[in-house]
Amino acid sequence: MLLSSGGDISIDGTITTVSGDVLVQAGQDLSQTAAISTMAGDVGLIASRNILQADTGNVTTTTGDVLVSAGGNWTMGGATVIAAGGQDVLGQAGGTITLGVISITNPALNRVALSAGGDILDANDAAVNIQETAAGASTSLSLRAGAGSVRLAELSRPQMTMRSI
Amino acid sequence: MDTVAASAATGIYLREIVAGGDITVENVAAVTVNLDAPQRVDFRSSVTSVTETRTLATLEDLTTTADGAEIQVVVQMGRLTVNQGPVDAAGVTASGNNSQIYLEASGDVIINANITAGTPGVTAVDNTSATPGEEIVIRSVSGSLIVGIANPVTISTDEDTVVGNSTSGTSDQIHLFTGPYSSLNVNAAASQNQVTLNSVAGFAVGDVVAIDDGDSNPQVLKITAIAGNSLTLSGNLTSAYSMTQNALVERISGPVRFGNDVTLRTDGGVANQFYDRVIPGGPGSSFFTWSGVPFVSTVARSGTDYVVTFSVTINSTGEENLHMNIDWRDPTGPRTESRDFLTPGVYSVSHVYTFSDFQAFVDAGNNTFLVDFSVSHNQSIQVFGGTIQQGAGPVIVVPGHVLTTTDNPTTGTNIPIPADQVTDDILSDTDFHYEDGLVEITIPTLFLPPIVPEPPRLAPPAPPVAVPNVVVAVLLNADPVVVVETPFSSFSKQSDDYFQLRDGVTGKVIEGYEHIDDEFGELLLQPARLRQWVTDKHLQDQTDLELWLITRKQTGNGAVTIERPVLKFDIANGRPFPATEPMPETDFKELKLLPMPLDENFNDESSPTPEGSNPPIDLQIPDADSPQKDGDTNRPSTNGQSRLVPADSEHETTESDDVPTVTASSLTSRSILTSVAVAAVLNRSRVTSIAPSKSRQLLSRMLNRQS
Repeated sequence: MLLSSGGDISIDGTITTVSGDVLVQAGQDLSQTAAISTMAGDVGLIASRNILQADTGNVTTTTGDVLVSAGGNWTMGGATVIAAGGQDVLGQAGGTITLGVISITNPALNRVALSAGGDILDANDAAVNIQETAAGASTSLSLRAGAGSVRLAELSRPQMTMRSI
Repeated sequence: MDTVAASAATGIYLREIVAGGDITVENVAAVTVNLDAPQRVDFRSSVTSVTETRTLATLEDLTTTADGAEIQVVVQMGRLTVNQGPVDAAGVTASGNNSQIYLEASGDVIINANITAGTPGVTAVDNTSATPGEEIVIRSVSGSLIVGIANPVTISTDEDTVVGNSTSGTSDQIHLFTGPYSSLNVNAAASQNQVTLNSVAGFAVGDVVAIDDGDSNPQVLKITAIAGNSLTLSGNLTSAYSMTQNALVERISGPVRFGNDVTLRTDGGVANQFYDRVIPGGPGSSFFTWSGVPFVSTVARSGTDYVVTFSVTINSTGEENLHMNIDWRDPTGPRTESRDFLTPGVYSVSHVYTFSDFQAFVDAGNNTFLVDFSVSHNQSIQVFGGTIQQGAGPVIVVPGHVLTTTDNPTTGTNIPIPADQVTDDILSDTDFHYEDGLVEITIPTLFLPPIVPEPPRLAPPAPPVAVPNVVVAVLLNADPVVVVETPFSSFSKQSDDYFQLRDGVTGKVIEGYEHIDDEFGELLLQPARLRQWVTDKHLQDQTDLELWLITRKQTGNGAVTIERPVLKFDIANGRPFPATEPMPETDFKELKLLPMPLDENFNDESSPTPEGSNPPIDLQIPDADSPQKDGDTNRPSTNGQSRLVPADSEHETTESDDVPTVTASSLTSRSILTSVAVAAVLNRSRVTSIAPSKSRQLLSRMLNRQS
């Protein structure tokens, strides 16, 4: 399924497919407040500007991959979940990526690659941001925060403090 | 999550939660997502495929680039491994200045790639408040810290990797820990021995702990008691630890294992050897070469001080700026000294003791004493653990749990050594503060007291002050000082000598002659002067006149007067003659005087008695007007002696037997001897010499013996 617009796209109703890919293309902003799910296809959310996923704007694909690409910021709600069982999740943003939860479920191999022109941030504080559900799977994570930082966990350990002179 | 790689400009913060298990930092393969199934239905019912493909390339390591960036990776339940990627040997790199890296795992921490904070080749950016330097902390909470087993590893905050360019002034830090920790929940003040934690889970009495925060060096102590969340420690804190500086207490317990090629490097120093560790009882070759017995020192005198010197080999190749702490046990201080050795080699280490320092040991009965020292890697490099193993070497249990020093920081009852105990330990060679080096100092058997420096010169006297005019005249009456005799000694006898003329029968002093001056009276002992004096004084003929010598002395018991007759004479026809004395009525046998060789008291037989006089042969008073033969006729013979023999006795006939014999019956032996003495003295005296006093003393002694 393809949903494309030269302007903004707001998804406020559920999109479900049994098989086949789902691609949402917005010429400007993309807003998602309802779930997108597919059994066997890939899911792609592409916007020339920002992508905003509310807590209810989950994405689920049982055996497919997920692509999220925003020319501006990609912002997930703290409870937003992207679940992918097809091995790969790739997200990129020209600005900041703010993560809810990315869940990778392939039992053998899972890869998550995120790239932001700015920061990669944590939207849910102490909760997990990227998780695997298959204990025996091989999982990798690559994170790129061009001009910013990767802050996927505010660590509870005492932070280092530079020694005064 | 199994594998992670990340790059960012200003920081990377990752935490592997409990469910995540182990994590490895290494190369991550590229990821491509291709959506090629969607088809777009065109206006004329045609269909066009819409394909969207995105790829993110392979990535390795954890990397930041901005100044002040931080990389923090925490594995809450599992192992953290840092491996090299295919591109280079790096593992975690925070290349900006003043960067920090913190790696922690609850399990093992395995480092097989380089960990670097700082920008290589950029120098002179440390040690300011704005750029305080780089820091790397790697901790295994309950596992092992394993570094460089798979391949060589350098953990470095060094921005200037030129060999020998380390500077001890860096604020860089590399801390490797094994053991759990807990943050303080109450600020800990200095000079007390308790800290309160958020949790004491994992802590037990007897554990060695390090208290640390952002602006203080770790202090290592032991837990002596636990009550609630409070720990009582074996010593007082030397500085305050605050929660705002993220203060925490770390229990140092786990093993540390290094590969053969591991380098820990900061701007302050380089460490690479942990095997063959110096331990109590030695020997060892890490840090310094130690045979297990105390180093022998030499003692050389330098002015009033003593210079003690010993040689030590600092190890090992490639290490820089090792640090020595030594307790010289100097009673007057400075007692402790620190020294850095930029490169390995043989070094002479010296200390100056004063004479008083050595004297204190000698007084305490210690002519030989020991001083103790430790050698550490540069303070900017600290590795804490219960045991250390490097390469295939043995696992070494380190009592003090600080693996980058030979010292056991938990020894000594007070650290640092309080000033009031400085002199206590000269009595003991057992209270050491630094391990494991010992130096024996033997105080020289003969050590001279110090040369007392010449006292400073006195300030020149102030210029005289003008004396005010005397307005009241004082009239003094004083007797003139009459110098009777020139003193020839430096002290005064406080005596007074003079003569008196007395009647020998009545003993009364003849009027007018109570005080004849000493000098003049002495002259009267000369016959010619006596005769002239009798004439001048118009003394009438009389017998039994006596000239007495009176001496008055001041002693400690008061004045003493000594009176002695020195001359008896009669006056006949206005001329003095020796007095006649009645012969005591005894049965003395008659004696006659015979000339003997060398008789000084006998007249030269060649000098006959002048006619017209009848003087006794032994007191011949020559007439001043009469001629003398052979000079002084009073001079005794030098070639004979005399002896008195009974007149009727048989005696050896000599040539002198022809000389008319003079019997002694007409003279008393006492007056003869006295007269002889007086004559002898007079003959030896000269008027112009200082002899009169001496001759008078001689005369006095003779008279005393007579009496």
